[in-house]
Amino acid sequence: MKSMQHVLLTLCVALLASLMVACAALPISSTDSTGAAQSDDSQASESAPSEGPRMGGVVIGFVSSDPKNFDPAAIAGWDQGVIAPNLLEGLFRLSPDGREIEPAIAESFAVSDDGTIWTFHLRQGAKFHNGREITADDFKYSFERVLNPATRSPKAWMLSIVVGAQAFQEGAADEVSGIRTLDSHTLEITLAEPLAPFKSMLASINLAVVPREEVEKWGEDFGQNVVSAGPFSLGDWNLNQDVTLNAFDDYWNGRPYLDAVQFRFIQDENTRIVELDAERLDIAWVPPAHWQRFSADPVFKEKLGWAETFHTDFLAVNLDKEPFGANPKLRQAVRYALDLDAVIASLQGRATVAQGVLPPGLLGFDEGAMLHYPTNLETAKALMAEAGFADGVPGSFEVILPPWGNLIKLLEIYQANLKEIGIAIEIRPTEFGPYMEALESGNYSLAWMYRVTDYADPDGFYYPLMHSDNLGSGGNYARYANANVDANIATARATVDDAERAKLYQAVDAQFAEDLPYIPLTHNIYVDVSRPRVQNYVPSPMDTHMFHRVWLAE
Amino acid sequence: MLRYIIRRLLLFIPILIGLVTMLFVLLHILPGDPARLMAGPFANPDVVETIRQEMGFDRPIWIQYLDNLRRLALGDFGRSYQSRRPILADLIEVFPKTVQLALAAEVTSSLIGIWLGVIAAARRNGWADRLIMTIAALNLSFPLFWLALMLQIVFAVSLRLLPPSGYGAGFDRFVILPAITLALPSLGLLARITRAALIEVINEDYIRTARAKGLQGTLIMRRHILPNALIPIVTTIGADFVRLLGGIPMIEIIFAWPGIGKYAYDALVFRDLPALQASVMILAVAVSAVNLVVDILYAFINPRIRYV
Amino acid sequence: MKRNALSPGVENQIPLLGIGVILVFILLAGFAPYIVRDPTQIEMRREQNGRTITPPYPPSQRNLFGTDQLGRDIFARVIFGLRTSLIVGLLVRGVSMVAGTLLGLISGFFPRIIDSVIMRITDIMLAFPVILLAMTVTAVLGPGLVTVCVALALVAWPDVARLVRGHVLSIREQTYVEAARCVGAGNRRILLRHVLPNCMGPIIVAFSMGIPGAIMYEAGLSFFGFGIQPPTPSLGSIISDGRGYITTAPWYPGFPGLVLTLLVLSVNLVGDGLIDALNPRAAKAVDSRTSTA
Repeated sequence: MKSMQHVLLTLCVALLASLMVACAALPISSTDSTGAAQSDDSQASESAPSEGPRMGGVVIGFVSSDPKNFDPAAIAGWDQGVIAPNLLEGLFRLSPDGREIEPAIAESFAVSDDGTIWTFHLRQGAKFHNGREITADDFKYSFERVLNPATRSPKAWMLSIVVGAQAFQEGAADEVSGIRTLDSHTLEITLAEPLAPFKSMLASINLAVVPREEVEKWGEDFGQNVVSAGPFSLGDWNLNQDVTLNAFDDYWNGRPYLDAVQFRFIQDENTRIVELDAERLDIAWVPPAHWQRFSADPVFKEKLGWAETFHTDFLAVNLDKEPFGANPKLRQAVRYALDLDAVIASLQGRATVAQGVLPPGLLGFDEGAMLHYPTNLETAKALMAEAGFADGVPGSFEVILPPWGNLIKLLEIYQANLKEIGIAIEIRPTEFGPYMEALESGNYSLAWMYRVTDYADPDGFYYPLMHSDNLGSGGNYARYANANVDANIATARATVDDAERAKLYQAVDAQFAEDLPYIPLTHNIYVDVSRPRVQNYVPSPMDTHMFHRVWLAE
Repeated sequence: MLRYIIRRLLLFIPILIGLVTMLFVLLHILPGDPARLMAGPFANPDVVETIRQEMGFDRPIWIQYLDNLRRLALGDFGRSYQSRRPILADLIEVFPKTVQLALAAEVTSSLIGIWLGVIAAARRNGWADRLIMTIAALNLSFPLFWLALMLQIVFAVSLRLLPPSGYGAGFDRFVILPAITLALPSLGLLARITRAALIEVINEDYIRTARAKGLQGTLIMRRHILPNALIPIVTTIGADFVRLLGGIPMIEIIFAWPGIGKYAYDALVFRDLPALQASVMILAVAVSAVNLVVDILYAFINPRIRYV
Repeated sequence: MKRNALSPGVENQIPLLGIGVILVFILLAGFAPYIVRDPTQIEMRREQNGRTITPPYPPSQRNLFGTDQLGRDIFARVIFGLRTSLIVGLLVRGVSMVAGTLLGLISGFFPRIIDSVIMRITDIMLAFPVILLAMTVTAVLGPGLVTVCVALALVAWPDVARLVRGHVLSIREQTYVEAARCVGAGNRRILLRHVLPNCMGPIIVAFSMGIPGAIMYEAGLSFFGFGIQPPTPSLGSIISDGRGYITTAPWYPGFPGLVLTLLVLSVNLVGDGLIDALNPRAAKAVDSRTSTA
């Protein structure tokens, strides 16, 4: 009898636990209703734009981990890139929606007819966060600092086309002869050959201007005490906790509306949503689990921020490895077999099918000129037969990928798709370091990979991915080499005329569709949600979130 | 006693050297090149090579190892590969936060766990005993990351009583949820151990004598039973505290708590050898300190234990 | 307490209940392929009442426990996950018990030098934070079921070695060991015939009490992405993947969570029963390090 009681008791507690789960589901709907009540207020404030932006307030955003370092010469990570454009600025900057390149410290510029001599006229009165006016000498110093091998900058290659850069890096010259200051506010840069995407590169945060006196004062610690020229200056920074950026009063384009932006470092995506629900975070990325809920919510569906990122996912094929590398038909079959619509459904529509290398929104993107491989198992099987694998490919093949949970789920869909045409793949999540090494050394046969561009230009995709100069660690992980493609990409780089460049890239696309060294999968759409009080916020396709013109309604 | 403590401290040196050696070996057979990671995604091979030379990764392994030991012996933890910040400054920030969280959790679980264990033992086989033991067993059976999320949703989102994550100095609201998450399984364990220890003492002859003398129940519990049952309880608390110090990167990540667990985890992912070995060394020192305190406590609880 | 082991009292029916649950789970796991369909079968679209819905689908007759975000049947995944988790629990505990017992016996019985070498090694292992060490080892060996088991066994053996050594030290001084030595029994014979059998009680208890810890640590490794790799499900990885759905699709982390809780609870109950039956003092010797994650 007593044991029965014990059993009952245990069951009761177990039930209680499950009830807790059930109850946990309820509060969300109750927050929804309180959210709905708030919606009237927020809509009122939104529908009354005559009030205009309000000054003051602090927006609390997130990144997944401590950026650790904001030295423009050192920045290479995602968490740094999200925050840094608010702090750092150079000759050009990205527009808030990330689609245009705007003049920043350079008020105007001119390019010589042969496209090699660039002259920049700097804005009068533009200041560093420490109050000193920015001069052409500061740019010369900053650029030479990035090139200097002692700085160990991962982005030194951006300036390697400048005349005299190599001599400087090898120690044969004390300065870069191609970077000259004509007067205190005029800078002249001479390139060894014309480079169309150079302007986009100059908008990169890696080429932001920094004051020599601060760099020398802080030495190794400059990355934690950055002084530059962006709309915000670096404030309190708590290790692994948060960093605050304060409004910079003397910003050349006017003080930000906000007093400050705080970025909290929250790695767990569920914690971020919980924080948003508890109204302690203003912006959060929407994980798949919460998409339905936010997109159906009357308030939050208006506050979803969309950015079609300049980002392409591929299945990279090592062309040196049998059987996939040797056989374009086989690669085409793979592409036909992939149910990309299902993948996009699993991302709840937050992606588009990639038909080529280039994401939409960049110069040269032309839907008509790209490949169209609809999902079609019959065609896939026919191609398998043509490739000589009518009964499937024997053996199983590892696909390496970084160990990101949501990504692994997508690969499981591809795995099931490929099983249908007789290709067995093994999902092999690999830590980021070893993963990149495998791609670079060619020690893989299939890999999931992505490409984002360092600068908003098609060259940021075609040149590293497909030019044979970049074989291996340069970014051409498939080890693709085609003389025509090389020539077209090189010509396009040196062509300033946009229409002509677009044509050249479309010729590359045609060859790509035939050879398929990378099997294009999807272009991601980044979607975040912000609280109703946040106004005028847009996430950008370059994974940067600019807060200069963001304001708070309250 | 003093001689005993000094001997224990000396014994600790080979342990530290062993730890450093083990880490060094593990990190060198780990796939993943720190120079490559420092260069960031899509990096140029020349840059990687420059970094490799700059950091001395191109030297023979044994020279790197000896150099590493020499620097540690001089008390130089070096700079983190990842942030280029001095590691000692980082540890001074992150380690006390972990201690703070672990202490909060341990104090909570000890107070409640022992109290529940005492009640269960006193009402042995009664309904209170069954309830407590069932709860204790259940507490040990939930995955922590699940428990953490449930607590966040209930207390932070639904009831709006507590912040769901983040850090606050001292023993303020921020520490409550992560501390409870960590305390629940410890509490279950401690309740069980306390109950078992008490029941064993209760069955001893001198307790029967005391009862026969007509002493009151609570008095017997406080004067005779509890002190005699303390050794297994203290052992458990010590072992549990050690677990909390070293084993909570998961909780620190979920609750965005900027402690040493998360720091060490990041260092491991980034192959940041200096940061990882410094964190592990600090943790090892803390673990040994806790064990030493536990051993010294034994002597106070039971004067018959002698140290030589 | 000894009484309970002999008389068919109330207490030792509870462990029986635990044994019953575990047996059912073992049967389910063993015959998984015959009971449920493919746990990796993806279903991204489903027609229901004339409209297309996307996963996770709620529990229905077709999916007893609902599905995950890829439309895979949670019931099937739980059964297969149970299989993985049981393998992990038994294998990890088995390997670490054998290694720990062996080293503990040697350490407790043989001369001081061997003893102190083994004990310093356990000191080093014990000073290393468990989950970090397990992650490092998994990273070295590459992810997978075997790797996870090796890594978890590697972090678990030092506790066992200490426990066994402690018992050996006390047994060594007992009169029957002296007696055996007097009649000329060799070390091996004394160890195997006299010392080991007398340690078996605590060893068995530690074995059973450590299984939940191994299962929980596997779940913890899954949380960090260091666990068993897809598409093989484990209970820990299903819950870890699904935990974000707790408010939007509670069945997804909920059912596997309940099964895991039930499994760990049962093992704990059996462990309690074993403590009562074999040796009441063993309760104290079980280190907390192995029983919680």
